[in-house]
Amino acid sequence: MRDFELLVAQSRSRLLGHLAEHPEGKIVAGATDFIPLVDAGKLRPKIAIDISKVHELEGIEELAGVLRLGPLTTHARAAESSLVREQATALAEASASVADPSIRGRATLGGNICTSSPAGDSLPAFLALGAELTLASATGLRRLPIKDFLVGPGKNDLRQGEFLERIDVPLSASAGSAFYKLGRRKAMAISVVNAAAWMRIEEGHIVDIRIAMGSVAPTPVRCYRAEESIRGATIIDLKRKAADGEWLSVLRKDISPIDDVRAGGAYRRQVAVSLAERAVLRALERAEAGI
Amino acid sequence: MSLHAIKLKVNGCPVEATVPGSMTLLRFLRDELRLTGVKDGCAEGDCGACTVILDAKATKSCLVLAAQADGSEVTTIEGLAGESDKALHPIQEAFLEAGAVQCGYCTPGMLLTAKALLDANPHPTRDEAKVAISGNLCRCTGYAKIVEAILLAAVKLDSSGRGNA
Amino acid sequence: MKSPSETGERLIGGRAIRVDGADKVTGKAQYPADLYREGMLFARVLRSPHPHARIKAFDFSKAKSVPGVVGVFCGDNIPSPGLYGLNFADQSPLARTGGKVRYVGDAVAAVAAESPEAAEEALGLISVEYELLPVLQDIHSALAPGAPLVHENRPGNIFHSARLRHGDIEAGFAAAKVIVEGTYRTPLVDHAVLQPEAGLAYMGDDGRVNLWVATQWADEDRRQIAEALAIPKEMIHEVVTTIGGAFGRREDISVQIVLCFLAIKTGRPVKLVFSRTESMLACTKRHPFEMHYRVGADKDGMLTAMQIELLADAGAYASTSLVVLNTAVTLATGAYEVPNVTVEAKAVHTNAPVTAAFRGFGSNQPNFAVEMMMSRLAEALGMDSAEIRLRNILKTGSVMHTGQKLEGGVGALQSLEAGIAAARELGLDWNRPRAEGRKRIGVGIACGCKNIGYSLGWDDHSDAIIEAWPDRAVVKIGVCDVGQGSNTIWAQITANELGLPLGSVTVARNDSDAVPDAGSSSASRQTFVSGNAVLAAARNAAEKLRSLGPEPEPGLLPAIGSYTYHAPTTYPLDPETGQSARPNYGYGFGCQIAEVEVDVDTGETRVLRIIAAHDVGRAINMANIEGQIEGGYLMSQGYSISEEYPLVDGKPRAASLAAYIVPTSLDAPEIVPVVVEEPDLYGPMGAKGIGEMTMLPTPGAIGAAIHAAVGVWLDELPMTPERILRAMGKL
Repeated sequence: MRDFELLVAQSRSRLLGHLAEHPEGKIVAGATDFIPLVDAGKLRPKIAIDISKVHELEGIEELAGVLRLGPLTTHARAAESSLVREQATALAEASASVADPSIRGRATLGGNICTSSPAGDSLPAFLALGAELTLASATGLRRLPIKDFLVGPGKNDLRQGEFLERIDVPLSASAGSAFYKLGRRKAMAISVVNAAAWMRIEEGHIVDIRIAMGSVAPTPVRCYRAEESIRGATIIDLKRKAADGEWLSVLRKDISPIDDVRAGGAYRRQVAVSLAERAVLRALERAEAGI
Repeated sequence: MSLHAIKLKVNGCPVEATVPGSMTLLRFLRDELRLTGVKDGCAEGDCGACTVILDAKATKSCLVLAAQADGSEVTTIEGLAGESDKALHPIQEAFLEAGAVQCGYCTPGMLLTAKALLDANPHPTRDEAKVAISGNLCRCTGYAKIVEAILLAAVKLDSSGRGNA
Repeated sequence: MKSPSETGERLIGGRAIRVDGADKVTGKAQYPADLYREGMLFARVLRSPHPHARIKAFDFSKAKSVPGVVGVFCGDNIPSPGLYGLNFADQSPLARTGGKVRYVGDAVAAVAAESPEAAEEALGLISVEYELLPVLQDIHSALAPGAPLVHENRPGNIFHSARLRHGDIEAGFAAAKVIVEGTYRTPLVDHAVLQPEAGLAYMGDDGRVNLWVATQWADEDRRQIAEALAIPKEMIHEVVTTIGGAFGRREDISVQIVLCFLAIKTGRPVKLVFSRTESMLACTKRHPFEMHYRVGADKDGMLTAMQIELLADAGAYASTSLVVLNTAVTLATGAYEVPNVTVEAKAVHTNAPVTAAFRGFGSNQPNFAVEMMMSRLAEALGMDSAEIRLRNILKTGSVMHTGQKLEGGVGALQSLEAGIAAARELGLDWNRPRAEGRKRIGVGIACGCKNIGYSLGWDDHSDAIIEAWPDRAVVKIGVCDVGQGSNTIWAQITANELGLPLGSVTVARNDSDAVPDAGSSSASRQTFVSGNAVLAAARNAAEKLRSLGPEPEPGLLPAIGSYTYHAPTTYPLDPETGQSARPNYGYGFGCQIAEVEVDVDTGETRVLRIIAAHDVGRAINMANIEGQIEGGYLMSQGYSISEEYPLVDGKPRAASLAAYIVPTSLDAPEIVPVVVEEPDLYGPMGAKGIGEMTMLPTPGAIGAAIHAAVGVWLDELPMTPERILRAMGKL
């Protein structure tokens, strides 16, 4: 593997110190993306900063109606946490779908977000859940919605000298979420298409809904036209519409899938709708069940 | 190039070494410690042949920087039998009796994945066993006898009074 | 843990534990990358990034100046002609100035250095001036008039043609009530052995070069090394290490010649280990086939005619493409008796990677087409898809399309009946698809026929030597145990004949100085050919030991038994008619029944259960047989629904195990192996082979199940969700 200088941060303050000295330093935690990317020459860091021992960046807690996730939270932790499973189900399902148990035990939510792959499994879940990121640097904190953070394939708005400090997911009662992944096999699969939906219901209406998809555009995307076609509808109307095939086909206007080694663009355009439909109906089920 | 002094336990023995920052745990175990039972099938995290137990978790050693293993405990296949006083660990016996070993290249990774599973979950269901090894590729067996071996190992460990943790 | 002998379990037919198992479960087993030698150099090979190019010049100056680099070499350093190949020597171990590279991954140059880092750095500094040539990306481009030649010393890109005429094809179609036609395509696929290619070579004090490597045939390696490097074969000492899977991949040269060359040139030990990417780029693949079948049957579903065209992509170099094509021709009608047949077959060079031996060896592709045709015929006739197979399946006394009359050991009907019976018991019904939400579940049935052993006049033989003492024995035979468990079989047979516990029989290391040649571990031949050699040698040793009396003189021990077994003679195909009294001395048969679930919205396919009934003659080790059935099935499931190595303008889209989709444990169905024992006429104790057969029926069974589920007939592998949706009219 191409050589680089590794700095090991033992604490948050040491991390800030390293970043201040080496603002271009590439942060590494679980290393499950980092190592293959460096090996393939797709990442050429001169300096890497290991944060796997910065314990302040771990943790899952609920505070004032917000689920606060440390970026070092592994996919395994997120999938197993009862808090995440009950309150942010789409995220638990997304994390459970990543790779295999051994990679889930090391790969982190922060890494998934900062790798910013269009196929990253937790990303549609975070988008649908309305996650907000806190980015920290020597000059202070910056907050932005995750949709503004993901700017291109493998590209994000992390500035030099910054690190991802925390991920916040707002929680609401009478909401439900779901995630589906389509891959070419049942484990160790990079998504061909993935879909997440979140909705909040009130008095028989879908008062708010978010739908996000991955592997269908340069970044994981919110499907605004699809959301608009559902927001405000009665649950009865939605269920009636859902009895027809292809009831969410307007979603095709929200996505721009390409051909790649895993699948063709036409296939993705076709199946994206089915996957999103399933995610929406499952989110509804959960909202109704009060999970 | 940065060099890192690391202290870790490998198969129960304390190890002190100085490693380049970019060295993976896989290369450290195979090339520096000559633990060639740890297999290199792809070095990219896709096949699981390099699986070791790192701090009680089955882990692909090609996806860990050696420097990140500072302070950790690592078990490789060479250390599996060492835990019991017999020549073979019950899990190794189970793999042999179930006919779960063909070319053997995936076997060390499979065994350690099985060990980590059974340590955490002594009575896995068939499905849980399948999920546990879902990142360990095997091209020879179709996985069928490997899953049987894991279930057999659970029975053996039960009847042997689980003498090892 | 008690050994089977101690527990009284009979050795033959039981589940004896692998004799090399303990080493494998403890990590003691040494694969070639596990070897170290003091002072060893690390080698790397530069590979062509171009599918077709001529080399104008090399510049090694920068590479050579990297500290730690001992040498940088290319084909110019190897005496002319310096070629190798299993059937034809047309491949250069390293490229020459003025020579060509013919596929992405072709070997160009080699570096030997004191460290892997130095070797890698030097590799990146080798400068090669290429003149790009037009790319022949598939068979049709290569066959087009005026197409550039892959090999200039040949008249065209057609490497080999074969034809077959059996009966009267016109009369056959005239007698048909139904005729179906179809064009079928299969892709490039990779063996994806878990152990990437590797080896170690060093010079001995005796001036010979010592090579330690995982291979399928040590003697053939030595022959090719000798020819390529223009040295006597006796100068090469080869030791076979533990082998991490083969499936045909290790039949061709990978590291062997470059390693010996570097060891000789530098005088130092040299180690060469391929990365996974390099293994996928550089090494052999299965032949893509394009096949056209026209098949007729009468009102009772009896086959009357098959008109067959086979086009095989022979890739950049010959390798075993001639034999693969011949195998395809001899098995082009699958497991059925067809009275009137024509076959036109061609193997065509392209700039695809080297296509070579891969479990099935040219039989998988035609079998897929045949089985899809049989299922479509059944549909056209309104006939049960098992019934049409029962009516046409090969039996003792059947005449194959090559004219060969089958004398015995034909377990085809038995496998089919056993499969059907198992399906009944498990409730798998190919006439009753069902729906569960957005899933449709269907069942499909298919059969297969694969030859055992070398064919068409090749003298298939093996030599065994057994040294016996009253309390132990050593088996010496040059068989590569690639994971199929051959070592255990020799130990079982020997222990059984000599009345010894299994643990008292050792199989000697496969060392070219110490054990006789046994031919390759391929063609499903070792249990048959070497099994017969070991059985006879063991009987010979037992007799000699007995003749020494109850208290043999130590000086007369060990009793040495030996035997050279020659398989029954086979004959080549007539060049005009493709007929032969005996193209093969044995065949294995099988039937698989697949229960498959298809998601009607996404096309995702999941095999739920598979019954795999295979005729093995006699099971010497039941665990080994089941292991072959389970593993071979799943490898074929990958071939059927997820594996492909696509090229775009001759360049592979990807070369990694992330992009190359082999099945994981969660993709494996419940596998129900059914072992059918219809004794072979010539096999040891009636046993024959199993290794390849288990792959054959799978694509046809899954294809038929998909049709039962969602009503579409696919004609191209892999049967991906995308192809299913397209066939359903949804794309």
